[in-house]
Amino acid sequence: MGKFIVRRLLQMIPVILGTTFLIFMMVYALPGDPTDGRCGQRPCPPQYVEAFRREYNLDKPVIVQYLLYLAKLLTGDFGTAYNGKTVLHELSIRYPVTIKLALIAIAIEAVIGIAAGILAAIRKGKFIDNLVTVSTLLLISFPVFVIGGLCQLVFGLQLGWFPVTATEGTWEQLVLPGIVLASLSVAYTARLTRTSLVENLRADYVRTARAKGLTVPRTIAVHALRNSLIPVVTYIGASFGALMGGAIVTERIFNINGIGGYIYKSIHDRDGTALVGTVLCLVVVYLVVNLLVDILYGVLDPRMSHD
Amino acid sequence: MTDNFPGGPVKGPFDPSSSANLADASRTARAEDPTEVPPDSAAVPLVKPTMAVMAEVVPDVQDVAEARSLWMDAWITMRRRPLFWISVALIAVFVLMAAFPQLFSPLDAYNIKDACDLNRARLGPDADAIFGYDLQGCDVYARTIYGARSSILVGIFTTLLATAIGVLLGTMGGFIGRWIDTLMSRTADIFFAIPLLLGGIIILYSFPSSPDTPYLLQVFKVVFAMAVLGWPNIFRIMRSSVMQVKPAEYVMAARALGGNAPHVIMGHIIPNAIAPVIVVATIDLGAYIATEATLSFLGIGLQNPIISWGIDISAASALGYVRQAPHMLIFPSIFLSLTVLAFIMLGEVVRDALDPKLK
Amino acid sequence: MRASRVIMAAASAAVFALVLSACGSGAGDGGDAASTGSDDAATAGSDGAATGGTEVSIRGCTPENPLIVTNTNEVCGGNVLDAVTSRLVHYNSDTAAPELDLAESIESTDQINFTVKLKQGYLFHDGTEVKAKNFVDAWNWAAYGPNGQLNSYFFEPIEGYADLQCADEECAAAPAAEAMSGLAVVDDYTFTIKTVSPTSNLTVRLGYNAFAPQPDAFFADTDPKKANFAQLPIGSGPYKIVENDDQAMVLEKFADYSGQYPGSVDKVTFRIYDSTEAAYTDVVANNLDATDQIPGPQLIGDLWKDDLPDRWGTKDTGVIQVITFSPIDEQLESIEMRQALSMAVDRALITKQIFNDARTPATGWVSPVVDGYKAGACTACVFDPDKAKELYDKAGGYTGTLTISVNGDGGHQEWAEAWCNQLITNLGLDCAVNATPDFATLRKGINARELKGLYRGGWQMDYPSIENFLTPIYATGASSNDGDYSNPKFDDLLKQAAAASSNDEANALYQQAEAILGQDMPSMPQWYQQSQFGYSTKIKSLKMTPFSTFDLGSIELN
Repeated sequence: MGKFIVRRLLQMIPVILGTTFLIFMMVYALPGDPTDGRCGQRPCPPQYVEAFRREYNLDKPVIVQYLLYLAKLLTGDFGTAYNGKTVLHELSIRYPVTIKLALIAIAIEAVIGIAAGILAAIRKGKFIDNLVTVSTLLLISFPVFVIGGLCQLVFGLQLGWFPVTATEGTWEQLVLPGIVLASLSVAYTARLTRTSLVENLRADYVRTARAKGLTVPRTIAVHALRNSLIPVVTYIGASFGALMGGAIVTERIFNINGIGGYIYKSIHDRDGTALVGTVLCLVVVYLVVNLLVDILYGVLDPRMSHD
Repeated sequence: MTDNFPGGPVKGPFDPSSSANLADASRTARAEDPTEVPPDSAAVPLVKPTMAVMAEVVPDVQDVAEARSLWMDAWITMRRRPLFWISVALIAVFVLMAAFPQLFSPLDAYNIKDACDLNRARLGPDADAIFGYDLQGCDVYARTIYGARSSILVGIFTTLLATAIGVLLGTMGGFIGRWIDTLMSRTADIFFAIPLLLGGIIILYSFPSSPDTPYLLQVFKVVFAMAVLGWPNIFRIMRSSVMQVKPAEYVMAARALGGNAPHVIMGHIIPNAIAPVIVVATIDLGAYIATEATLSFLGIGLQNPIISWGIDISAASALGYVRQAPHMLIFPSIFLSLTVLAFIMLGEVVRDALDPKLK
Repeated sequence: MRASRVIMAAASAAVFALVLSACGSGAGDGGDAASTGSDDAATAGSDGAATGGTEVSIRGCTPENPLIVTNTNEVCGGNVLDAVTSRLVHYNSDTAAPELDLAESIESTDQINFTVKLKQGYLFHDGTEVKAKNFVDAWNWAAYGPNGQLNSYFFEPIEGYADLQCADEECAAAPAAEAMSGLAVVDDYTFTIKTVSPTSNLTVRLGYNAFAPQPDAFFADTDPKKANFAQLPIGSGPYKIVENDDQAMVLEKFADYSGQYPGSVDKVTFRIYDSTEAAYTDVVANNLDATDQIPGPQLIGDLWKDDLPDRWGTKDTGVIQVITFSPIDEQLESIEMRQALSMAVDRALITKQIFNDARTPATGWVSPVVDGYKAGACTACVFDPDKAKELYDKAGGYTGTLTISVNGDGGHQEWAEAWCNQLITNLGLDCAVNATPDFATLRKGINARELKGLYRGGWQMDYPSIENFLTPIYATGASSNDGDYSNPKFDDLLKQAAAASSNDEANALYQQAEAILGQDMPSMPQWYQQSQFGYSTKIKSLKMTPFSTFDLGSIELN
């Protein structure tokens, strides 16, 4: 197990390098110079453009830019964004907010998704099953900006159940955005749970357990559910990273000062330094969570061993 | 499980002593930590004994015709179910709508002169326009009908592309294992770690469309952006599913009976492992259609003058409009929901029919 | 059982629809009678030096550049710097008329040599006094090429500006001089400015942010980009900045401010919003005290006036929107074609249906808020589809698809589509909107002259002068001359106007110049902008300036 973890940690290095390089190249390939839109209706003064390019190493070939960036990164320096603030400072303020948001979303996704999935599976073909299908389906079929806007309007503004925005990023403020962010994943979780559980409920070991005289809830809880949760756990684990990065629209609607907004702004500004730093942290979080999921696998399904 | 140990295929404590498995077992001599198997593993029942029994009892099923008969069986099962026909009918209607919108709407939504009049902006449904008028005073019904094509093309192409890549690589990774699996898993990690929207934004920023861009090229750009970032999802599910199926007795039996790798993969692994992929892929299809709308919302999806549900929903979604002219949002949204519903229902029927475990 | 899912989906959708329409009820009664909000909020005066920690929060946005006056040209940083600095000249918050602030007097007999006398006793926030050298040094620093300041071109009229510029783009060799020969300190409270050519409106220009003085602390910052100073810049304005981070920029009233434009509340927080929708929603819910932008869709049916009863306002601002003809598109060269494309569009219908009359159809190239405005310079701005069609046919029509390029991130698609649709309907041509992902991409296409067809241009005045709407955009070779317009007669009139001895004489000449634009149609004027704003129940009244920023001195609390 120890060696497994070490090896996995070592394998993270090429992934991190690959992702940062990919993003770096993509930002570099974006049409338009970072200074193109900075002077409103006028073209920027050439001296400003030159000074700007020198300051951010934009005058060098892209590979050199990337290596210079990496060298800085190794010393713990995430660089400076185009608006003169250090990226590390921005991230230290924005990451906790987005992590909070993602945690809330994960909690909602797991609790509601698994519960709905179980309900649907044990009442397969019945009203509850159809209700779960239709309600989760509706969530999928509405784009997140529609759901977000409507929730803000109805539950925030008109009913006053939740704060309308989350500028300060407190737990209380983040509940409604968390629900919105979770809405799509809830559908996935519920449906995966249902599919998986239905299969397992038909498996012979479940019948055996029933025959042994175990009660239905106990059969589900002890045997079937445990096996059924494997794909669900993979999905939830994988979605953590996606939730953090996918919060772009939700953060915009609720004015959350998290990394989603920062990512959007960085792309807008063609600010590779800020974007790569942000994505780097995303990737690390994602990889660590996935490692945890894989370790959890061994616990949930002994058939799979980290041998 | 799972992730990729060079030389470490999935191994269970209950391995039957087939020759294939012995070979695997000998390879697992390199296993680092055999003691890691949880102590209570004995409590977990063996996997799918019936299948194993079936494989042993009816060994002559394991011939080339088996894969075909599996799909035949599936077809026989499916055609008995009303749900199958309902979803197929719905999909047929939407595909027909996408191919020949003029059959559904006498008014050509692309003909601005006839379809739009700014004086009627945001007016509700009336006798001429049963869905009302949009921001530009265009007939919402005509636009909704004509919008089907773009949305359905984007959804189907993206799902096909992402699923093809994911299933191919996932099967390879899960079946072959070793360094191939490591390489694929890490590559998938790289792409998975980049959030769909973030990557989509960057890709579409890099290849912006203008009104001069041919229709299919515009669609393909959106498809490409989403598929490039969407496949790892399918990959992971396929891979873990393959790994679950691989040690099953019927696979062991097939391999022991001398089935070559492609045969085993096509005949046994994929049919048995694909079910969760189909479920996720069908849900993804809806999600991709919705994501296309989100990309439009961010100003980088399909471009005017193309008509798509995504463009119309995002244009109508501003709260100020929702509160005053909800019909602009509701009608394209209902069509979008129905499409998603149809595909998911179909996916479910196919899954039920394909999965031998559920028969 | 299975089939019922479809029915249920439809039923849910219907419920959803009901919820939506329920949300919509209560809106839409609109009505001008509801003008309870104020188009010109009652003047607060500044008697109420509010006691005991009054504070308000205002919508802010993330500055694009470090907070240095000569490096900030957008509103996010500009809003804050406006309150933090004071300049020689202050623009009246109602009329935009220039009033002397730090300056005791600015005098010139020939419109070339100017003498500036400062009022004494004005302090920077660090307690040092505002002196003549603070202006001269700041301006020289900003104009110095290697410092790469965005706003350096504002100093172009001053003699010696050229000597401070780099010879080559790389700036390998230092410029010939470090100080402009046109600036000289006479004594602590007097300095002189000499311009290259007559500049009758120099006084008006001096109110722009870039002309603010910098304290000694600015020059003491050893960082070449003045990064430390820019964190919490020191000015001599009514408010000092005490906090500047991602979520907010916090200003506190400067206790030793001795000018005539003091602040009102003790603390003003510019809270950062990425979207104006979120800010608007917060103001409606009383979580934010004021927003200077109302999202377009909320204007429809006067929804916002219902959301914000008695707490909204509007102000005519110095912004004009135009559509420019691409100089590389030969089909758009003829004057008939240009007139046809302009006359085929019913501006009034678009402003009514898309903006709910929050824009006023333009009749010329100059905003009505500035001194010297004269209506009607654009004769082809009148809607006349028949005449337009006639001119269009005479010009030979347009082959291919005519595109209108706009940035997709600024809420321009709606009017652009409407504009296109009118051209399609009234002229029978092919037209499509080309929405670029963002402003930078649009500007790249325009600056590099790669875009064909039509493209949008919005101009917000830097300083309230008719000249600011003509020279920077339409003079030959001017920095914002997107259409590469050039007419020697027009240039000549601008020069005469700049050298005019009286304001009236200058304005008359500028109006003649604008009339030439009416004959040449270098661009199609669209509409003049009106800004809408809203505030929380905490605020009693609040004024917006013609620059669409809040006058922080005008805030009165309930």
